[in-house]
Amino acid sequence: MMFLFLYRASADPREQPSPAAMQAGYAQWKSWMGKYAKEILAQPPPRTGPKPGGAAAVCRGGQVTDGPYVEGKEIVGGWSFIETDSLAHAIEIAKEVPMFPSVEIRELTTF
Amino acid sequence: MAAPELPEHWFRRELGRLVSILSRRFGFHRMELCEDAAQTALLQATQSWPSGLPEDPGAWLYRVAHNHVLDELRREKRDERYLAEVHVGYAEQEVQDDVLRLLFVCADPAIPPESQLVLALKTLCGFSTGEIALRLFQSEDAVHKRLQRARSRLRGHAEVQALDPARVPGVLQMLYLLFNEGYSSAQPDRLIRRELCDEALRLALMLREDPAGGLPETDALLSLMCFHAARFDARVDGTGGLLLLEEQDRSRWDGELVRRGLDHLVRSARGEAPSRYHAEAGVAAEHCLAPSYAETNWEEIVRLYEVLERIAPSPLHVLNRAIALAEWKGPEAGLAALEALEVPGWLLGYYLWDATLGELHRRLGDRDRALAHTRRALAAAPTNPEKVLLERRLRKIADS
Repeated sequence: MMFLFLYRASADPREQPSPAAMQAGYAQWKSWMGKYAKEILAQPPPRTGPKPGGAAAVCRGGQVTDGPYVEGKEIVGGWSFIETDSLAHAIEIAKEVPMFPSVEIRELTTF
Repeated sequence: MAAPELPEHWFRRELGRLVSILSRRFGFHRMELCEDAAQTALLQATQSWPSGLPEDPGAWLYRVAHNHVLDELRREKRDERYLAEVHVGYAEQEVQDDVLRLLFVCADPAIPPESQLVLALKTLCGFSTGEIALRLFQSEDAVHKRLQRARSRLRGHAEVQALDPARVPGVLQMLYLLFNEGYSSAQPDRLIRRELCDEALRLALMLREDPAGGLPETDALLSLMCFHAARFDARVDGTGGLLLLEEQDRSRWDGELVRRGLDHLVRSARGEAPSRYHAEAGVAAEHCLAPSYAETNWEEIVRLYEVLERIAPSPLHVLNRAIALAEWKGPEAGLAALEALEVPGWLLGYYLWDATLGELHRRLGDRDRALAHTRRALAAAPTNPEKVLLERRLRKIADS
């Protein structure tokens, strides 16, 4: 199964991470990416789009729900493409995403 | 594949540099936009770099931030002229100048000193509003308001004052405050405080390299910072308890920093008149160079505090002088100096005032007064380590 992870953060400038937090975040991203090197796709997969009726979830602060995907005043801060054997595994990976309080998970399909 | 570790504080330094260089390019009145752009670029880096560090990370950041500013300006559909010039130069020398220039911009005399400090901490040192609030014992809201007022002032009056020599005293004052925040604030996290000191030292060194900033006062301030920084770690014992100057293990003082302090002190001895930094560096030098507490040149320290009182009158200098006097001529002389002082109300409630009186009375054998003053000092002491120290002293008096 292929997934898009969409990372969201607060748009409030006062909740922006400080450079020290970002530097720590860089190290966390590094270890996250190292841990899931097999599942994280290095390149965006060609010819993909959202799978109609596919799996979707949002992981916010360790809690997984099926929505709402966006809370007020959130901005997209980045994304990744993930390939796993199950949604459960994708959620495991999403729970460990550093820095972003919210990760939206969308199943993709190739066409 | 894995990207290497980045040097400590790398992001923080880069933020200051990016904001500085972008603000100069796009105008200091757009400082806030430049901050956003720098923030965005760094945030991108946290995600992009782990899969491979770019060849020149600084240039990469600059390009991303620069494009972000251009995008914003394009969206605002104005300032077309900026769109034509796309710079990607990232010469180190130029950047250094820009950081310094921004420091001068922050030193706007129309902005209160505390707000200048907040602005510098935010923009140059890359601390978040929350971190600044924590460091300066202000609410986040207060810090936020200070920032907004300072920025709105800069929006209107930012272009003229690049490296204006008349602002050097303001810049020095800002660095002095920054250093003191790190050195003596009650912030319990010693690592954070050390960072503030290092930052102030780094910026002062940069100022010194500038033709406008390389004044005798700059060397005097650097000297003061080096002497204090040399003693930074020796001031606490193994469990974080405070150690008095006389209890500190002098072999733990950083000899290299003492040497650098002396070097700057020698270089500062030029020009017309000594500044308060000269006098304070002189006091710090006497302490650092004394082989032991008992062998300290108290006479010279008393003289330096008299100089300091003339340059920057404050009853706190009298208090410090009284302590030195007590060491030099005995506790009666110290007490006499304090009794001659017209004591303002705020000083009466200050814990070091009572702590000093308590200690002088103890030495004179006046147990009751010593107890009373030390108890009052204990009640007003702001931090836990200081309370512990005063409790220790209280027990000593009670047992005598």
